[in-house]
Amino acid sequence: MSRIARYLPSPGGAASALLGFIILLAVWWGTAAMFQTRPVILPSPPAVWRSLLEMAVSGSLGADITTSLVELFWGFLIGTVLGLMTGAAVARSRALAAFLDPIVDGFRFVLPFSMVPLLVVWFGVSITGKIFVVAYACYFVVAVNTAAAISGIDPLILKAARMIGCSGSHLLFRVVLPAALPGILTGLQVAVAYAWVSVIAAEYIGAQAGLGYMITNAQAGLETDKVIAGMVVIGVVGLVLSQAVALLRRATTPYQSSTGW
Amino acid sequence: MTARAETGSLLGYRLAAILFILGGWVLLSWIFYSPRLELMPTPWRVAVRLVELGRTELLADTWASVQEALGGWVLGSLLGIGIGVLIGRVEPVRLLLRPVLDFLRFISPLAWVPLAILWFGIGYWSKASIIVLISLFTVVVNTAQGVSSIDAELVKAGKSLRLTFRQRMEVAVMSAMPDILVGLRYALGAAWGGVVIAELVAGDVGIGALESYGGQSFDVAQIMVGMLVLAALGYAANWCFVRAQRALFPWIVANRET
Repeated sequence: MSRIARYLPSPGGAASALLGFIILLAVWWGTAAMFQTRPVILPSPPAVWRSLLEMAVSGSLGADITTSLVELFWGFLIGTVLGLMTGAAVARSRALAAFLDPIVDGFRFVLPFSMVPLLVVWFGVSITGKIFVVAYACYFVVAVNTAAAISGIDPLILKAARMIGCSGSHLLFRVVLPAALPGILTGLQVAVAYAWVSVIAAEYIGAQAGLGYMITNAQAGLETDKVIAGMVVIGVVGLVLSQAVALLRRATTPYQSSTGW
Repeated sequence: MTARAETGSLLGYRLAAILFILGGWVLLSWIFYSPRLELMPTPWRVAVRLVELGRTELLADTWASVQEALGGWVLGSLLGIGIGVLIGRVEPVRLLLRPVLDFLRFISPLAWVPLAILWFGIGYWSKASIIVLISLFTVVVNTAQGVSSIDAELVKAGKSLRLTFRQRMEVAVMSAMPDILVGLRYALGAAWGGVVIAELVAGDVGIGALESYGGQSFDVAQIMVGMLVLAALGYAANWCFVRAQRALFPWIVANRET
């Protein structure tokens, strides 16, 4: 058995997910063919593939993906920038940390998904509300991780750097940033996954375009093949996004090792 | 600074934070005041609405959400621990199931909501099944991680004592318990988000449905009541979990911070 394991992709990665997709595809195809399931319950893989192609050719799939990615981009950007600034400020000032901690602790339980109906009332079906949800979702993850990463730097490193005459921007860019970057990027990796989920969830209600809108709309029309096609697209985009951040992490912090599960 | 002065100033900061939130809220509701459409109701308007709803449908909706979240969490966690132990300790299962889970984890459980509605119809399971997925995917990873990093000495000791399969699994579960507990707590926190989004789409009962009706009648105060009740539920669940863990497994350090 362990001889087979040597040829298998490492867990947690894209290659392993691809293998899993193939296994799942086989099970799904077998179930659909053996039990002759009705298309509304479980369409066969070729039917899903056909509707995927159909949507891709008509251009509606591209438009939905673009809408979702635009919402993701702005929400992630706004939430991350604000989160980085808050996290850095909290790590630097104890008074600010004591003031902001209870606020963050309180708002941690006010879920981004629970404010979607509110944002539909406020902003209608425009993408502003979706951007708000995504930014809100990212903000706390990034702020908490950044604060923890910066205040978790070994004080000996900082003392040593100061002793050899390191200060100001030199201290920030050559010592603090490299030491805190792995933690910050871990936060960003969690945030990007959370942001992508938030985009889909925010599009479920009060939207006119996007992948989340597309699959709920298909569900209302009992088009299960479209729902599954949409889910696969959501999964693939999510995979690409998280791989991109993982790549960024490996490129910028090669000194930090990561583990699978 | 003495410990007492430290607590005193901490309390001061906490009070300042609460005043800041309430003050900001009141200020916003004055800025966005409109006689025609209440976009940002004041805290006391929301409090009044909370009492009004408390006399009518709020309790039933809260109970429905709690049932979905806890039922899905318990089922998903049991499945997650079971599959996680098998993945961590039984080679063929690991080879077959881990790639499948690697793939499925990339499709967020929340993306399953439309499919769950098609499969189960609008009712209890279309929502609880989402929580089952959330809990399963979280707990299975933590369990497998914890189980596969068991002390080798422990495994050898078990072998030399000729433990049965069930006993060996028990050893595996207990030594992976710190990791499992981290997964369980995370899943419990994520469950509430899953419940509200599933109820917003498949809205018949629950806090999400309450918010959904509030949105349809432009009753922002009702939506805010839903948000606050959900936050309180999440807080209470987390509090109970940490307390229960401290009582049941006092020697485990994980999840110590609230």
